[in-house]
Amino acid sequence: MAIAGLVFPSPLQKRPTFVKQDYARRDHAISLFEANAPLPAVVEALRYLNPSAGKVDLQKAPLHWAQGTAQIQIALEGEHLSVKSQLICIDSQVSNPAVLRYFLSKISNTGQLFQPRLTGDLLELAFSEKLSLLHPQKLIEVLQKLPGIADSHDAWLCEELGAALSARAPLKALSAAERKRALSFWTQHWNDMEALLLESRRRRSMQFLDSVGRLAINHVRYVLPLFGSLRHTLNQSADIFTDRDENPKLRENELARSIRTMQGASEAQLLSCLGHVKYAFSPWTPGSADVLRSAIGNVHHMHQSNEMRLSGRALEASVGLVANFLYLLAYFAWPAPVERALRAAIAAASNKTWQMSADILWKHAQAIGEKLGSSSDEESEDDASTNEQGEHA
Amino acid sequence: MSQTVSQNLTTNLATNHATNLTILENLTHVGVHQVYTGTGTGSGFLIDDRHLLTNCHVVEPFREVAVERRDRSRIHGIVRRVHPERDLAIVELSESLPGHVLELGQSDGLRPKQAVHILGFPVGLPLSLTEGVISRPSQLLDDQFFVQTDAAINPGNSGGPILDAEHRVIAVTTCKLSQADAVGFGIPVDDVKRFIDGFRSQQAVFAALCPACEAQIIKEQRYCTSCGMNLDGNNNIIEFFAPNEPHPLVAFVERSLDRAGVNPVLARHGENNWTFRHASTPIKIWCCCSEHLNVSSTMALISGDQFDPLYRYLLDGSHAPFNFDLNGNIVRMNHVVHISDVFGISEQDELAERVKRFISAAGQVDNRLIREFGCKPAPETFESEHAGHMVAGQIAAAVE
Repeated sequence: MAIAGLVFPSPLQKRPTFVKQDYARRDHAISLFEANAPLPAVVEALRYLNPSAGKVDLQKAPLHWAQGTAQIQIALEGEHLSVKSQLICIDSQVSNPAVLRYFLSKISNTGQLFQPRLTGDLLELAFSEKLSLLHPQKLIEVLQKLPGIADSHDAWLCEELGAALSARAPLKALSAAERKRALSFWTQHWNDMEALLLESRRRRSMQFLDSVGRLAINHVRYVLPLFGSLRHTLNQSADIFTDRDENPKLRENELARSIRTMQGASEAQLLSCLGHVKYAFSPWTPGSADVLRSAIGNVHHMHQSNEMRLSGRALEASVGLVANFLYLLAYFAWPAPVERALRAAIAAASNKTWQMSADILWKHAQAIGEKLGSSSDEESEDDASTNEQGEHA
Repeated sequence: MSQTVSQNLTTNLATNHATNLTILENLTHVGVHQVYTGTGTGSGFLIDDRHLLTNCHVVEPFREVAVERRDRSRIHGIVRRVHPERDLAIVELSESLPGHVLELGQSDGLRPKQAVHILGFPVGLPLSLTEGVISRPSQLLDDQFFVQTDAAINPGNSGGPILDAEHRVIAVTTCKLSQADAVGFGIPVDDVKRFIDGFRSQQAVFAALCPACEAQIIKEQRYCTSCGMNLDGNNNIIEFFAPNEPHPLVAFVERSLDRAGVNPVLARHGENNWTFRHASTPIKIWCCCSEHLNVSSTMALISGDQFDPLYRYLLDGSHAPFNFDLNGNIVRMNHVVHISDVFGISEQDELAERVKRFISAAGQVDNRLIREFGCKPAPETFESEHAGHMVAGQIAAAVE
């Protein structure tokens, strides 16, 4: 076996603060809207998303929020409220069908409240609605989804299709020590993935291919504050290699292609895609006991992992378990006790043999499922104040 | 011996092939049509040029339905008689439909292994034929007798005819066992004939037949005046007389269509799903999730050499609140209504007005794409017998 174990460094990405959603505030916004007070309803909806927004007076000035690399402008335009994020400038003298077609086929969509709009040479993601028709649910939906789309396409559009970026929030460069750690992690991670892909091909197991694919993407998302073209390319590939409904051969080929692409990225390219950003409101989903249970407390999955680690298949057990732990950390914000427990598990499994890491992760998963899988929601309120602070605006 | 068997087989195959060819060749002209309602679609066949026979479960609880012509345009149908217990219904058409009226056969004399042909619109696809044999001529199921067949029956076939080798109707497709393979059932034609004869001898504009005594129920009543049966909660009879209040979403869409001059009954295409044409432009309205009502029109196929100006036109901000996207090479125009708006009372008129504007703009834009930007008409805009292009959502909604 070409690979003896995995190393799990602590994340360079700032961990998100767990903020319990104030649903009463959202409901109040809806009540205000229904009481024919649309502007106060808008303000209340904005405060629901971003409780620390301070005083909001849209009649005086538009609101500018940074959400990752997306700059969001929320403004009153007569009777309408608009939400916009500028993406690129298109030179009207130069034909650029590839970039325009990309917007029409990948970003325009049915069932989406905001759409790409071209005004002069400026292409932006935009939503506009008459205040009297602006139900707070619509505004919340737009603000939760629009920035993510804007943030994930910007640099890629620039590098791949030659578009000129417009009004994007800058990345704060990593420190020298962070850069060193990031480069080391990147090299190690993709070499590990190459070795694990080889093991997956040797085993011809769909389940193991699935675990390796999830590990490939989740580990990067957890550790690195990755943006720009590398993130876009990786995400596009991950949509295929993590898709269980997709043909396994195609998934395997896509994972192999992705590993080669990521290994081939230059140091300069990687560093240009790394940096810290601010978020007006958390893009991470608040974790819940249900999420925890479904990922690491699932009886069938735990039974299967146990069988594997006790029957000489520690590699499969370990990769499957750690992919789940990293998924929970990469996509969700957790109350402090859960966050500590999840991170302690992968720290303990770092740099161990497959058998040792499988045993450690399995035992931690069991303990977390039993102790925290039913109580994370209840504890969240007390823990929010003591949680490690993320980089929120 | 082996030579004889071989010869017999060849003869039988040749006979079957000839029979199928006759039916297939006349498929365009056969009087079998698709029935559309607000809960799904089904099949039905002409019993004369103004009346269509189908299943009761295809039309219930509606008293008005749409019936599609071969060219995919739809006409209005009024439900005149229903027999919920025997699962039969007769629909009167707003205009006569051309098409071969199938002869009604007899239930007597049917035998196992006898060849049968089933006509209908499986999963909303254009008129299709399947074939098999009678598995049992008179199968008892839920206290009623049915013709059992192994011919393929799918959602959407309900109400279509089951034919014998001479193309006579011997049963009406009604159901199949979902937990078994190739176990389908038809209502015996003798019951169908009795139902039709009864209808032709009666004067009532609308009647539902009592499940117990087959007396006509012509108004909302709790008990059958003839046999005393409690009709409340029995075979949904009451719903034909006192329809349930439509869901606010349905009410909103149909009010918007009405405002745009589109007959909502003719546009219904299953639950929370509407399809229609405005000029030559197909438009569909559907709910894809709990949050959005989508309005979308499939337009032209991009072509020619003016890609950059075309894309700039499609992305132009002045189209808001509508937008365009590309589905492969086909341009679609879209609009989204948030469900929360549908439940707000005060501004519904304005939202309905937007839907109306979308419908009238769709045809104009489609023409402009072809005229100014060199696009070609999309395949879906051709009206033809075989223009049965359906997206997955439509197929799902078409299931009856």
